[in-house]
Amino acid sequence: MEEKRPRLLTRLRSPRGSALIVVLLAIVVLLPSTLVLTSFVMRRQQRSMDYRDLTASEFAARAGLERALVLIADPKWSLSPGDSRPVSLEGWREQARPVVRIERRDDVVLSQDGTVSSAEHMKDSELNIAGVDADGRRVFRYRKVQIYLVRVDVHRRPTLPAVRLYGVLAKLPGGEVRTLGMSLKRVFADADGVERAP
Amino acid sequence: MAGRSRGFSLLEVLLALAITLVVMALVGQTMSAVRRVFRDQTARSTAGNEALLVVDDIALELAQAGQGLGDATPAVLGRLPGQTPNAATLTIRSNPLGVGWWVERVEAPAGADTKLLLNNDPNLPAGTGALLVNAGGRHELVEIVDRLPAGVSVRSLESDDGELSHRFGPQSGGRLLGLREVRYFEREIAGAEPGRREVVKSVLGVSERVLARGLDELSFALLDDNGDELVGYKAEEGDVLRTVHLAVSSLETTGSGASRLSTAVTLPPSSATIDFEDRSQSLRWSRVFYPVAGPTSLVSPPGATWGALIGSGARPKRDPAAVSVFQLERRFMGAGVDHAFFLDDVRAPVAAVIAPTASPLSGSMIVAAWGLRVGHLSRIEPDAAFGFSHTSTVTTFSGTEALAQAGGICFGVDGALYLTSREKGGIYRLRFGERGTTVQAERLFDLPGTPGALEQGADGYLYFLMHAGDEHALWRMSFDETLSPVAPIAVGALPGRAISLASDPIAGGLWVLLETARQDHAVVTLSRSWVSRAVALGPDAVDAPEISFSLARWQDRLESASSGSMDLPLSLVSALGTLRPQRLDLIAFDAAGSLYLGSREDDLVLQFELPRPSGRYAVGLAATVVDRGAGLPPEIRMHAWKKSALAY
Repeated sequence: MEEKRPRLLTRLRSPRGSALIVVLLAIVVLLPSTLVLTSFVMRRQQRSMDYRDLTASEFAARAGLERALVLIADPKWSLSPGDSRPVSLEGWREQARPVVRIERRDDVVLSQDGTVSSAEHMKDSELNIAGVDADGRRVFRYRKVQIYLVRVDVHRRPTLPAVRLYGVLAKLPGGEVRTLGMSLKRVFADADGVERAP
Repeated sequence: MAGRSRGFSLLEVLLALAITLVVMALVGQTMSAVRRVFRDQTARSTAGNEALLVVDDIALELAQAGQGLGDATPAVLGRLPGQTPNAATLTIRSNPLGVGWWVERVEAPAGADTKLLLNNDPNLPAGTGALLVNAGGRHELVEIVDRLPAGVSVRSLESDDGELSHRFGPQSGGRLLGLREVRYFEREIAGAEPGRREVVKSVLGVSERVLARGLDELSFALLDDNGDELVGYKAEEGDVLRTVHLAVSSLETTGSGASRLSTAVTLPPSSATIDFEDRSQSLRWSRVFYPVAGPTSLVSPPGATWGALIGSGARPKRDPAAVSVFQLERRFMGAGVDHAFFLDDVRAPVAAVIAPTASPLSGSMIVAAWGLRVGHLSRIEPDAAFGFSHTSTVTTFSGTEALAQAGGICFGVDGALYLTSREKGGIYRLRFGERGTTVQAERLFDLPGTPGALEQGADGYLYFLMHAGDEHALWRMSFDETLSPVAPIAVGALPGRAISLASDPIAGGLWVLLETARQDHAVVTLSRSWVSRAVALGPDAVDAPEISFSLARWQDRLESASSGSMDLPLSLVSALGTLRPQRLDLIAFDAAGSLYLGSREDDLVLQFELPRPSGRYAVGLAATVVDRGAGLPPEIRMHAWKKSALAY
């Protein structure tokens, strides 16, 4: 009586069986390496993309500040102390669009000796007082300056931290706008800009 | 035969063994290759990630550079404090909490730490770093040794004995500022083979950590406004550091080569200067030159401390031209020509210019004149003292048709001399031989009118006056990227008969002297933005330029001055009796930015100062935003300081 062999062993005796063994062996040997290498490549690509997106976000945040600066310099645009207003930016993709908000803080008065006081504190002083120096130059004693806080948030992807930029802008009595300071940081924030744990 | 098992022959066994060995060898080789690739890719990946981490970390720190410090100190140094500059080291300073105090008293007992009494109680704990600055721009890194009532005792971290190297008392405008100082540098890896280096990030008084070990190179370049590298990687007093370029290279792995990553970070603005001078004032008359026979032009090359007025004499066709040289002094005084000399062969000069360095005539004065009968161009070479005097050599180029009735001359960005010809109604280019002795004239463009004065604007383009009938306008000839001249275009109409044109070397605008319909001589200022708008919108769409000076109004004010209601220096008041110019023919600027208006008929030149900020009444203002946690609005902390050019 002929011995009944398992089906697989029977097939192994055929050329097709040998080919199967070779293929299985190749898969077992090469697959992990391929997976690891793919993982390396993907991870590296992801980091490059993250870096590129963060850099782009920082540029976008600076562009948002520039837009705010132009707006504040516009004589037709005004904001009362204590008020804030969002700024819409046209021509940006929704995903990359910076969210800009301008808030006007209390005015300050700068004196020629280099001290800063609140406008409220100086409300009884004559701020337009000026004198003439030995060379005939007319020189002011005080300068009242409008202060604006600009906040720009750029959030490209949920897996990336948002870029948040704070800029402090000063509008001088002549209408010129100057940047007094700017800070940029990365935060994990929700869609409303509220910080959350990473 | 059923039931009988048959063995393998020796040949079969050997063959199977050989095949197995070959397969095993192939598999082993493959595995070895895979392992090598795996190892290389791991190294590359790690190095690449480290490079990204380093670049990203430094770029983020640079984005905060200088915040809260104002302009008290360079925000970025290409060295570690107290060490010599090098390309692989960077120090970034900021004051993120925006804290600062005025120094009210300094006590420096011998052999002990320096005590600083401040205007407020500082909340700086012992052991932290801080920065002392003064109004003269000096700064010194200190460590807080101890807290005192309304003060601190400090030790300098930049001197060997801990004593302060500069003065930071109240007389010097001393301030103590909070400091976050981040340093990036390379060092040898302890215990590793020689030559292996690691990149370290150290935050003064807080932490130090290794950012990368797989990098081959870390380098920084500090660039100024023009993109030029600051010498020796320095960004010290006087240098305007604008951009930091950083580059990293990862270690070379077998067969893969080193990968390089670089980026440039523009430093954020960290303070502003608020000017306290009233710039709404008009021109301020400062000096008068009288008599200067028939003033036609003024030359004063960039950086010079002198100017030269070229006069045509009382009878321009007959009298030789005269050159009056004077020192630029920006204070009230009467006329002060140092010396004058005649150009015997030059008659009826109309325009003069100093040849730029790029020209074969470098440093020489070129004068265009109408001459007795034929126009000519003369060269006056500098004398032995590099000035102009009667010992200067004067050469007259042979006349060409281009030189007939020149309206103006000016050097272009290509080093050639350009000339407008009133008689021929065109623009000519004159190229000089290498020795500057020969000239070749080439007619470039025909113009639909009569061109006049020609000047180079701050943008490098050539601007000239044009009139056709009663219409007067400003025209522009630009250059393309190969520095070839482009056909001129009309920029904008002028509100009167245009007489003379000048370019402001400080603010960059163009000033046009013209005669208005009311027979008044006036000056209009065409700012750079006005010119840009006019070019963009077209000459008909731009708004009319404003008149910034009126001779009639100025005469009226002189009348007031004569009656004592105007505060003028005695020297000018005494000259008032002779000064009644009814017309003006010349407008020009000197190298320092003073404005000159000349009258040929009255043989005088008036000097005016523009309302430019002197820098004497400037205050710096810096702001920092400090987050106060969830639910609270961020706080703005500001500090100001009086800016001064005085050194302490």
